[in-house]
Amino acid sequence: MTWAYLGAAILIEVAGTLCLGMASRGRGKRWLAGTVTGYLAAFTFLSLALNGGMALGVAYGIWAAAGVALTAVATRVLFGEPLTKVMGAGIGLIAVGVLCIELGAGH
Amino acid sequence: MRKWLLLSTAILLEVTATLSLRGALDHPAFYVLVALGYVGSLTVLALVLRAGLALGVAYGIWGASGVALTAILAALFFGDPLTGVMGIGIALVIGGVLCVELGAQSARSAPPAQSAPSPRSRDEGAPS
Repeated sequence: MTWAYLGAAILIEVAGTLCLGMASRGRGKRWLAGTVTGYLAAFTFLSLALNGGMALGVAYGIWAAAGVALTAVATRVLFGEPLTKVMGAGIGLIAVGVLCIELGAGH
Repeated sequence: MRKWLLLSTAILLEVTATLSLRGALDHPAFYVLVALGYVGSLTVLALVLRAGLALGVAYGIWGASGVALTAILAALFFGDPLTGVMGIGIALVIGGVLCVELGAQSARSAPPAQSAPSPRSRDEGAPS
C-alpha cells in the first residue's frame, strides 16, 4: 500500500509541476491554483507513504527522481521542449539509481 | 547570480519541510514547518522561473540536491538506513538528474534542428 501512495504522490506532483510550467508561461492564475492543489495532495500522499513505514530517504529519492524523469517526458509532449540522447541517458540512470535505492534499503 | 541564490533558498526550504514531514509523524507540531517550508519553497521556485531559469534546469537541480541532502540528513536525524547500495543509487540518481538538466539546457541553447533543411536533404532534392 505504501508503494501505491508513493506512486500517487509522484503522478500528482508531476501534474502540479506542469501546472507551474503553464503558469510561468503567462497562462494565468487558474494554473497556479492547480499547482498549489497538486503539491498539497502530493505531500499528503507522501506523508501517507512515510506513515506506512517507508524510510524518508527512500520515499523522497524515488519521488523526486521519478518526478524529474516524468516531467522531462511530459514537457516534451506538452510543451515541445527537446528530449535529447543525453537526457534519455539521464532518465536511464535515474531508473537504475531508483532501483539501487529500493534494493539497498529493503532487506 | 540572483537566480542561483533563489534556487539555493528554495532547496533549503524544501529539505527543511521534507524532514519536518518525517518529524511530524512523532510530533504533529512539525506540520507548521511543513506548510511554511513547502509554501515558501514553491514561492521562491516561482521567482526562480521568473528570473529566467528554465523549468527543467531549476527542477533538476532542486531535485538532485534535495535527494542527496534528505537521504543524508534523514540518516543523521532519524537513524534511517543509508547502505552502500543506497549510496550508489543516490549517486546514480544525481548523475541522471544532472544529465536530464544539462541535456535540456544544451538542447535549448542550440538552434532548433528542424527549422533549416540539412545539407544532405538539400542534395537529395537537387536535380543531378
